[in-house]
Amino acid sequence: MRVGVYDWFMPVHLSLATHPLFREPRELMERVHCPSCRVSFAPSEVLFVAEDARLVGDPVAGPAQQLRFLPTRFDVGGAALDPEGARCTRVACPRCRIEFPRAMIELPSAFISVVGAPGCGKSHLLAAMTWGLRRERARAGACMVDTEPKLNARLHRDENILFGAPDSNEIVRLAKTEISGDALLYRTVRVKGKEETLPLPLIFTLHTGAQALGELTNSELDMAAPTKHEASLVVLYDNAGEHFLPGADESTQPVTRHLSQSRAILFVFDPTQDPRFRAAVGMSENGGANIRQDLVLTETFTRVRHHRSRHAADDLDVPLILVLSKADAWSKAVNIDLSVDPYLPSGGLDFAALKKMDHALRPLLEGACPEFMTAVRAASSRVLIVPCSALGPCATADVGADVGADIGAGVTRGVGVRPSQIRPQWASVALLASLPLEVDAIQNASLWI
Amino acid sequence: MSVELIHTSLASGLDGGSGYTVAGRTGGMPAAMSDALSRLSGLPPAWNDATREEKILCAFRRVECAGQSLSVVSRITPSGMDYTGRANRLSHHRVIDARVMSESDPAALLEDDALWRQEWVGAARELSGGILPARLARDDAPLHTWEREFGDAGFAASVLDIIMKSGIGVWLVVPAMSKRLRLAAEMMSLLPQKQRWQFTFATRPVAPGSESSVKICFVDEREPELAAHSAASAWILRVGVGALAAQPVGELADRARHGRGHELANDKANAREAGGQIQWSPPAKLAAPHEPELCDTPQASAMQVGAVERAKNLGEVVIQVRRVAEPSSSSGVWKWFAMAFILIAALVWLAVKSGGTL
Ligand SMILES: Nc1nc2c(ncn2[C@@H]2O[C@H](COP(=O)(O)OP(=O)(O)O)[C@@H](O)[C@H]2O)c(=O)[nH]1
Ligand SMILES: [Mg+2]
Ligand SMILES: [Zn+2]
Repeated sequence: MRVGVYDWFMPVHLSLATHPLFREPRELMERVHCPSCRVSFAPSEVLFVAEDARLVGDPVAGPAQQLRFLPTRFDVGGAALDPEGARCTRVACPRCRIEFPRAMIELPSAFISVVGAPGCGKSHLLAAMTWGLRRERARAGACMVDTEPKLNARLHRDENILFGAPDSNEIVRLAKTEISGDALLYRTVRVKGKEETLPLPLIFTLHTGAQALGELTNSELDMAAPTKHEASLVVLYDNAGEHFLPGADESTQPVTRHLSQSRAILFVFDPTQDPRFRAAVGMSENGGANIRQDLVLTETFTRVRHHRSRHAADDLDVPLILVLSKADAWSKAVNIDLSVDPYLPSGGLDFAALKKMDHALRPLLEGACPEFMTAVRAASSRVLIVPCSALGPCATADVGADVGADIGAGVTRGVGVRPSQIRPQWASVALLASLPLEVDAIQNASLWI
Repeated sequence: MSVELIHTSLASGLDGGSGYTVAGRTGGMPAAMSDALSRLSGLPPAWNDATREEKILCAFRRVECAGQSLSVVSRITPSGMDYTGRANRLSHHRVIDARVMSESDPAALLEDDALWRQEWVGAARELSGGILPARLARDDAPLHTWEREFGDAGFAASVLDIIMKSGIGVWLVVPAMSKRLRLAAEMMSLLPQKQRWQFTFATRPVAPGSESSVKICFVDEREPELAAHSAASAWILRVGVGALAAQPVGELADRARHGRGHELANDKANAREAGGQIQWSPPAKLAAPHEPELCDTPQASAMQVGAVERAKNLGEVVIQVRRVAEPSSSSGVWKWFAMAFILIAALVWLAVKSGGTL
């Protein structure tokens, strides 16, 4: 079907700027960073993904992927046409050829890395924080929607398990994040004949501005119907903790390269995996399965510096948001109360409450985990400590007779949790604090020590 | 010596890390090989109510490692809870050497549970190796699993034909609860033992085009990864659709349906009856191989097996010839029998003579 097709030639970026896919009034970004391989390129270099079913197989993206191509033909509406004449709207990186949402070409993106040792609670937290920000737009003063739902499929998988059936009493659990082989987490491409395994990020559109948010209807929040309201993209990375362990092979699996561009690093510290912290809050021994979380932190920031030092302009001092996970298991013992989320009555983060919490937790950590805090100070001068519980205080699982004896113990032992009992506390706070909002915590220097 | 590696979640691995890490490996294994095998260790997430058995990934893959191509047979299985209490998996990889290749086939090795670890007990440690026993699937049985799942065992031959001709790997979508490893083993049994090592396969989805990709994945129709690909993709095969729409025909398809023994008996019975003429068509008429690394198509290879084994088993020759003869009766079988004998005698005589003149 090649009816009504105008084959005219014009520079790709011109066509991008004018055709309706890219919403005429909007400016294109000057340079775009690929969310998978981190290379930067001009919008004019973007490749399109062929739609015709016969055009399967791409030399870089892989034989099962649709062909990527630089368009030279466009239809009347200005959409790119693939070599078989099909309309194409999906775009891919010119280097690794992994598909990314086309909104990245027109909106600024903030990259945020979620880092932590294996088992510290990253996956649960991520599901809880995005789930929270999807629903609490009035209270949080911002909301996030999937930029392209298909590309966030694996997060939906986790969100559905934990929050999909809120009345269910059946015990559920998230799987351990795989280090390879999960097609929703990683993609292997062949760049210049060399195989690279790259991470597939989670990408959201962030809408801010309290009054604007009030007017938005759900259909307007949909990226398919673009809004004129303030919006930017948030690109989140969740790696398996194993990738941050010292010695993990970075050359063949450059899955942590995203650290180099991160606006902030959310380091998830699991106090229940620290023997001295456990002792300090009166938790029992956990059988010696303790990870040196300070080494993971040090390794993370070594990689940040290594990647950034190549570009002199980059600031080596990346804000660090220290997320203390599984607070349901230890908050009582240290006398902190997370039952109220730190939001202002008018919407948005209550920075005073955040600061108070930070100040309450700091001495505790200095006392219980001094070597970890030394690593924290060496890593960044801008540190904010945020406690959170992805599951909440009621989420104890069936652990036989000892339920209730040690709140949260069943969950931290991984027995599973009942969806009906999940009540996240402060789960979205760490992410909100790192987002580019109207009142930007990262710019708000007084918050950091 | 058997070279193996076990990768699972431990508080402390052989190389110091925690979480998914190397729990055991044959002593002296080079770091590059250990890394390459570790990268093959992932277990893709399955559908919601998948059983433990259904989640198991059995695979025979080939990976590049320090300029060398390794043949790796792996079994990746869910394995209880790890030290953090989360669902664990255990990946057991074996690097196959020439001796094993000469006496076993990959699917048969995988079907022997005793050769594969289900769980890891104790601390990470080096393994001492040992000898891998020979395991070989019989090649004379009808393909009952294919028949049960697809109504016609002949589809095994059609699929084999497609993957020989296809440059990229394919996914064969199989009905829920099929025995996927059995399907692989039965399909392999259509091939001579040596050729079975040319077909990499997996019983769970492995993305085509990656270093760990395979020629054929047997993919349960409930696999969540299927949803990510267009149903129209040519590399996703479904019996009864597209490339597998036609009823399988040919000698290999018949063998898949009835097995070798059945034909042998049939031929002998037919041979005793009087009948018409055999129309023998030369093997040159058979489809040419499309994949460079493969030397023969199954049909051609069946002929070659016949040729190779002629001296040992003259009855075999007759059967091979008989198979390409269609439609046929068997009155001429003994003539062919005699002709083949004379041919071989002539060849042997030639060989002896040329040897003698040296
Ligand atoms: N008590 C408690 N346990 C949690 C919480 N979040 C995660 N866990 C447990 O911690 C373990 C590891 O969680 P996971 O998110 O998979 O960690 P990851 O490896 O960092 O992604 C699981 O067994 C969870 O049940 C929480 O908020 N409270
Ligand atoms: Mg995880
Ligand atoms: Zn890229």
